[in-house]
Amino acid sequence: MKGMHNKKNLGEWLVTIPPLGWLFIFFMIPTIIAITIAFRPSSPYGDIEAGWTLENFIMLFSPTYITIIWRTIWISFISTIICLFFALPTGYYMARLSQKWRQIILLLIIVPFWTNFLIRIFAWKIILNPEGILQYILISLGIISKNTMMLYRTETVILVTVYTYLPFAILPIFAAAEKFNFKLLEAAQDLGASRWESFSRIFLPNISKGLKVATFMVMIPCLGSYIIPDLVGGTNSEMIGNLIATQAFIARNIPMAAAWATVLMAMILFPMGLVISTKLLSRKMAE
Amino acid sequence: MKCRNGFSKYITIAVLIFFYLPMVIMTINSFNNSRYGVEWSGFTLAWYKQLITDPKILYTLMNSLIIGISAMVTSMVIGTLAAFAIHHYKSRIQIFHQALIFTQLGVPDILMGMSLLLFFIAIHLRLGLITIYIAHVTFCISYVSMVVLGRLQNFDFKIIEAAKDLGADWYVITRRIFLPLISPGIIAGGLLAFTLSIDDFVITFFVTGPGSSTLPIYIYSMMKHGSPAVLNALSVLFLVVTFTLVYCSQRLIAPKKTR
Amino acid sequence: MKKLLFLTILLLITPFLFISCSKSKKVLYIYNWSEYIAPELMSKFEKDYNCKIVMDYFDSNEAMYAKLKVGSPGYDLIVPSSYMASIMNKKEMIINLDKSKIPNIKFIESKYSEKTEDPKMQYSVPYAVSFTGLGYNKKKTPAVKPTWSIFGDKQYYHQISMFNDMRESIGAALKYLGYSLNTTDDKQLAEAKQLMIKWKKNLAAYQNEEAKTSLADGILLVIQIYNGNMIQMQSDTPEMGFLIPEEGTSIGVEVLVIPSDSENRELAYNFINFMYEPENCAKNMEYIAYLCPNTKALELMDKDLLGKIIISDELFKKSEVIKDIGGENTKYVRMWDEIKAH
Repeated sequence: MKGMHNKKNLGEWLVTIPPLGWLFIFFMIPTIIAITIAFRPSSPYGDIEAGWTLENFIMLFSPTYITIIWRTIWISFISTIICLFFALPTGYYMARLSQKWRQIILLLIIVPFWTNFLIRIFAWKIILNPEGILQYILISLGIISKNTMMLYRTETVILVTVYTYLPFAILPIFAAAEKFNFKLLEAAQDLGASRWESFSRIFLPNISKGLKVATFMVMIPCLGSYIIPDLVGGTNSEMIGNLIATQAFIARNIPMAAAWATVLMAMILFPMGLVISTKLLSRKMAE
Repeated sequence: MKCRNGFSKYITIAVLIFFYLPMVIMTINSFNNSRYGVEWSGFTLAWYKQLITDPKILYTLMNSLIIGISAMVTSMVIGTLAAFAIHHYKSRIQIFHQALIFTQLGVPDILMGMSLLLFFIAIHLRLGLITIYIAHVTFCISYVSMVVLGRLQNFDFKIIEAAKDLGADWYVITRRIFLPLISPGIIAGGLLAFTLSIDDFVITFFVTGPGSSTLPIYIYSMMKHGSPAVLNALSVLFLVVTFTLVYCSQRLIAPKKTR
Repeated sequence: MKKLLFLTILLLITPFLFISCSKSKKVLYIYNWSEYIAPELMSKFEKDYNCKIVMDYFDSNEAMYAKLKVGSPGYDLIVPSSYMASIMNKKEMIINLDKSKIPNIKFIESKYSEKTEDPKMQYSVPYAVSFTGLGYNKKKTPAVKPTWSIFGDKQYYHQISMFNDMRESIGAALKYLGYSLNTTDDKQLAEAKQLMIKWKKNLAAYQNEEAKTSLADGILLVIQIYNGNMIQMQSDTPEMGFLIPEEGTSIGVEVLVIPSDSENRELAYNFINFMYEPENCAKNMEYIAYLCPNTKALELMDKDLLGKIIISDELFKKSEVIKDIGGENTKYVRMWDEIKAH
């Protein structure tokens, strides 16, 4: 019996060491290095000096930067809400389709998600061109005036973000909806529930896992995004990602960039950890 | 019920139009004779010609493929091991293991790029294809293991017990039972890893070294300095290739699913 | 069992099989701005010296410096701006040049170097001289006034861009106010900040070189840009115009330096000398559309192009080269962040 136990342990180590070791060396150690550097002072020439300081973090919470932190949060929040708004009906509709059509629509949704991320952004620069067709159509419909600039705005950043990450929201919702038993909805309605009631009280709770995954899948890259505001954003669309890039590449201040990155990571990991730990806790309670 | 289906149907159609509108406009523009701007000034194949004769595109594409394939293969092996370990063993170390994978998924690209760069510098590793490869494997492992883990959760381990009782050894179990049953998960994870690797710009931008630019890095510099018209042609080629790839893979996977 | 183990090992080492390809020729690693060297000269050098050139590109001095600072990417030749070369020199990241190995240096006119931190060309030699100005479309906006205050002109509301480069952009405001663009005076900087905030409301975006495609596409009407970018564009879109504001501008002097960790110094020297060969230098100027202060080469140049790549003495006097201001740089960083967050 004891021999069995040892053998099992050996097996566990054999399969655990390659992945755990890799992540430990190439993910955990570098991240810890970056976080410690955030507490180091820097010289004007980009050197990381000896000693420890909290100055980088104190700087972050000056009014100048609070604006940008706040902007990052609300841009990500709105983009996520819009993504969920479109992903929910789409996922729901796909789940109700026949196997064949489901495959086709799934394929159609995956393909844009497989093309190059930069090229997708580039496409929008063509569409939103003031001399482009879209501008022409919107002007003739009287929606915008001739002088409206559709590029280089915060709205453009949100639009392109939604375009880029919508597939990430649709797929998990669809995966959850696919497992949902739609007869439950009919049953609820037979018992007198309205359409909205049956949708919100039966369908939504049943796909909540998919919703959570979708939220994370959109929210995380949004919070860290820097290419989208850089390429289609205007003078007021800087996000935390841009500040990290500015500090690392322009201001030559690696500790400051690391401090920003640490804050960004905390902003993401804290809610994520909260969700996961409540889940683990409730599971333990159930046991 | 019909009414709700109607609403979700229109949204789905709207979403698809939203996805494809840019692609359609880009395709049309790739045959447009005018170098800049959006006015139509005649049909041309010049951009495609310029595209295939640009040696830098081929070179960076090769770099991207080398890294994409290597990162895919490595992360498929390591990610599957991770998923198996987390699913099969319930020890304390696996909780840490899983937490590490989750954290990795939550860390923004820009932070990963920066911390890996600092790390490579600290261990004096020359920046190049190797560092890009390591970075890509690192972010792919988590995705692969998540996908495989999803597959494992539907896997009935009683089959393995049964095989053991029938006298099958470790190798036979792995080779004949375990791998074939979870292979769709591994393949899906691998494809995801390949896509992520081919598409990655931010992390690569940090860890790339002399002569090891990948295609996204080159696309970025074309976008900033060069030829927007060529970029249209490149996007169309990308679309054609991905469509074919996705179509073929769906064809391969579909019959198995219906079984 | 063994087969499986073998397979796993094979899969793990595949990438290394791919990556470790053999190198037979000497390789010269160059870190340069994009489209900043004539390709025909590269192939000529490769043939003449039986070597291979590998070129990587950066799009800002700081991005290049950050990359070099944190590690040793192993380049043999870099093309930074003069102020960055001075920082790299202070940090001992580049070597002092042995001029006996660059005989063609005798053709170089020192007028431009004298405005930089390295007037005697000890560690750097000028490669290209650029002037910042305004790019516009002659057909759409024929009457662009040569002044930096154009950024506040409501006529171009949300269709005008400034550089996403703090020294260049703040420099434009400082020049307009009549101050030096290397100032560290708090009062002058505060004034410039107010002006920048006012201009910002009128701007479409802060963009570097990518602004030129937006200009060509008709998205933007006026952009802050280097002269060479516009001259390059004029070859296929002749309606593009360029002018330099009369308040004076920033002169960019891009220099050639050899990093101290270069493994191929001899080849790098050969390359520098090769580029100053008057004939090669003239060819290169025609391609990159920037001035190389090589007196012999200028005589060989097409007069029409020559007229575009140099500026009048009057403007030259009013203009400055951006210099390294050491620790005071943080003032600019802070100010730039405040402008952007405003």
